[in-house]
Amino acid sequence: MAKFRYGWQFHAWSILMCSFFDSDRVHFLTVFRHYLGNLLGIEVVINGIVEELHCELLAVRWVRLILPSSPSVYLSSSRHSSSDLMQIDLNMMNAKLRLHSQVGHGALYHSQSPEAYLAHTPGIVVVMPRGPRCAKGLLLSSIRSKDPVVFLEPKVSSIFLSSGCFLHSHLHYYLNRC
Amino acid sequence: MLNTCILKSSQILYRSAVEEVPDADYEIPLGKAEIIRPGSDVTVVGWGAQLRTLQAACDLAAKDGISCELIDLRTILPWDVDCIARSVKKTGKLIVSHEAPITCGFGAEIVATIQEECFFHLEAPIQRVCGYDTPFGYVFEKHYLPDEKKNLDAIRKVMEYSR
Repeated sequence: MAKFRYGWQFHAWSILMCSFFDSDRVHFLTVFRHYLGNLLGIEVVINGIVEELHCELLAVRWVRLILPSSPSVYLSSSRHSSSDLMQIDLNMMNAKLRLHSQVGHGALYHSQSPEAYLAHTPGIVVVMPRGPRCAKGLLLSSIRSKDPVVFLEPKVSSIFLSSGCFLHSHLHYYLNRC
Repeated sequence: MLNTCILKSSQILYRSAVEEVPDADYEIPLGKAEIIRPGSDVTVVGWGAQLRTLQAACDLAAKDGISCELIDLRTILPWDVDCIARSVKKTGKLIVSHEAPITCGFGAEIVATIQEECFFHLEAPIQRVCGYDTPFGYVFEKHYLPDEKKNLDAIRKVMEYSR
C-alpha cells in the first residue's frame, strides 16, 4: 500500500500513469487560464497527437477555467473520432480536468459546474472520484476504456493538504517538488 | 449510533486527501455507483468531494436515529440509474446534493429520472441540496455551500413525511 494524495499533485498522476503505460505514449498538457491559449493549446496538441499517433492518453490540466476550452476539446474529439476511427483509439481523449467547485478562494470560479456542462455532451463518459483509492481504480478503467472519458478531479482536497505526497519511495523526490 | 468523539475524528478523515492506496493494478468499473453505507430510511446521493459533506450529514442523521443509504455516483455519465432506483424503491426517499447551482445541475437529471422510475415508491418529495443560482463572493461562501447542516435539514424534512 502506498500513501497517495491527489488533487494538486497532478504530477503524481502523471507518474502513476507512466508507471502503467509506456511513458512515451502518455501525453501531458497544462493549460492556463488564457482563453485563446486554451483553444489553441488543446487544438494543437490533439492535432499533433492525431498526426503522430504516438499518444495513448492525453491528460489535460486546466488551471482556473475549463469552460472556454471544453467546446474545443469536444469538437476535436468528435471530428477525429468520426473520421479516423479506424486508426485512433478514442481513449486518447481521456482528459483530466480539475473540478472548480468551492475551493476556498476566488468568487466567480465557484459557480462553475463542469459536471453538468460535460454531461450534456453526448458520447463521452464523465467520471468523478471521491478520494485517492477510488480515483486510482477509476483512472485505470478510464484509461483502458474504449470511450472518451473526462476524469474530473475534485480540487478541494488540494487546498487542505497541499504539501508533499508519496506514491512510491523512488518517486518521493519528484513528488515533493510538485 | 456514533458519539461525538468519533464523529469529530471522522470529520478530520473526510477532510483528508490522503488515503492508503493499493500498489496493485485494480479497476473500478465505469458507469457503476457504489453504496458507501447501507441504510433503510433515506437515500442520499452525491459524487466527488461532496461525499465528505454527505458522510458527515449521514453521521449527524444517525444520531437522530435516521438510517441513511449513502451512494457515490462515481460516474456522472452514463450514470447508474438502477443502483439509485433500487435504493429509492427500498427507502422511498431521495436527497441529491451537489455544490453546483441547483438549476440544471446534474441533480436535476437524477431527480427527473428517479421520479419516473420510482414514482409509486416515493414517500416524500425528492430534495435537492445544492448551490444557489448565483456566483458568490468569498464572504458568502458559508452561506452558499450545501454543507452537512443543510443536508441534515433535508434528511429531517423528508423523514417528516413518513411520520
